[in-house]
Amino acid sequence: MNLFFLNALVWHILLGIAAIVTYAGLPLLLKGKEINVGLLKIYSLLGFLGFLGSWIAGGYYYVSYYGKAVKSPILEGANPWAHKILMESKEHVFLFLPFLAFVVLILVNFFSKELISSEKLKNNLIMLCLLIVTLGIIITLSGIAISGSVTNKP
Amino acid sequence: MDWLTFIRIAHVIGTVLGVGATTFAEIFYLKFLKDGEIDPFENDILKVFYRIIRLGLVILVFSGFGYLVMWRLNFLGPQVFFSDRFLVKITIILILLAAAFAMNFRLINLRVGSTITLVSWYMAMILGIWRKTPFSYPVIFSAYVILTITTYFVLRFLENKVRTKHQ
Amino acid sequence: MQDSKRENIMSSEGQVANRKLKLAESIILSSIVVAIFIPTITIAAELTAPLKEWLKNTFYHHWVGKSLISVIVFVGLCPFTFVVPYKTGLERINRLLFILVTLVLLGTLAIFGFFSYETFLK
Repeated sequence: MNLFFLNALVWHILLGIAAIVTYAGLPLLLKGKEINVGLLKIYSLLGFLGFLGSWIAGGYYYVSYYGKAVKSPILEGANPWAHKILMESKEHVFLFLPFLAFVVLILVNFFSKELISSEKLKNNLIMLCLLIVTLGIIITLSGIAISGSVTNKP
Repeated sequence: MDWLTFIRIAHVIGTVLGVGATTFAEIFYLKFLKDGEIDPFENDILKVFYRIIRLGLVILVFSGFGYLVMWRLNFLGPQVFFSDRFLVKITIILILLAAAFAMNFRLINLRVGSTITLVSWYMAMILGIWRKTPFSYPVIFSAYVILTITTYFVLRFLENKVRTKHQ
Repeated sequence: MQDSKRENIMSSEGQVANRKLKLAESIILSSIVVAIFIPTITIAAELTAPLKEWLKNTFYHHWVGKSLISVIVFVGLCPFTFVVPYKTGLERINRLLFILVTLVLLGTLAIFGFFSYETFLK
């Protein structure tokens, strides 16, 4: 694996995890005694940018390297389901995340006053963030299993 | 310094902060109960520990992924990634995250949550150090569950002792 | 005079608030369409080889095609749903958010379920 692909792999993980951490932090901020709107906006922007970055880096790695060098060893190895189920599902389920992240970004920026006054809107936003975190964790665990299924046995 | 050393240092720092802060949070909680209540100043002290636990967890997660990338680049494969020890460690980290979240949203009893947090941190640390664990996933996980239940009753016993001493 | 000035300010504030609600709703509606589109094209491309071939030939890789088309659908629908006149409000937004979350969950289950079925049961 050359330096480009290594960076793409590492950055797609780092940015994805960072984004998940921000979306895990958002519900905690929303449930606080006093809602810090500035911090909400920063977290939602960082989360959205994180997923965008992970999309680009991960996509580059997947399209340019994974298919040629990683897919076959997994399919020929002990756990072909790691590609057939986990990778195939992960690459498509991820596509939901940037759009969900954008919805969170818009809600936090457009309705900061309503988030303080409307319990229903606050709870719906928390639900959305928890969905993003859950999908993110599922995708992360799938990624770990996929990486764990790669061997260099001929 | 190579990347593996850097990752190792970060992982140890995360573990030290998490294990240390969760231990002292329990110790100080019991100490503060001596007068029968947690006043605002004592609550602030405990909040500092909780923040350090969160910081330790974030460092642990990121450095943990550093390890996984290293393992992947070295083709360590299913033998390591799907080892019983590693799978239990991942399970425990997920339980720790869920407990932390549930406690913040008051979805579980705080004493149950803090017990799970305490035992999870120690188990994760032990499993990280004890690389040649000879036990299977069900055995290690059962030990974790038994340890959590035992620790809960020990902590409650200590709490009652502190309260009755005050009365 | 002061009353009419106050009325004008309140009316323009109301217009801005209404535009924000409309824009937010159009974004959520477009996200809902994308949430239906992603599992649909994923499963359709696996079941219809010519579709997958077309995506690969047009966009270099089928996944790149699905990503780009999702973005095009989202960006294309937003102005359309923004321009169409309908009554909006926080209640509608709350309902749409619930629908979005439900559809994404169902879509995730559909994708995992489909590939599991293809691997183990087919």
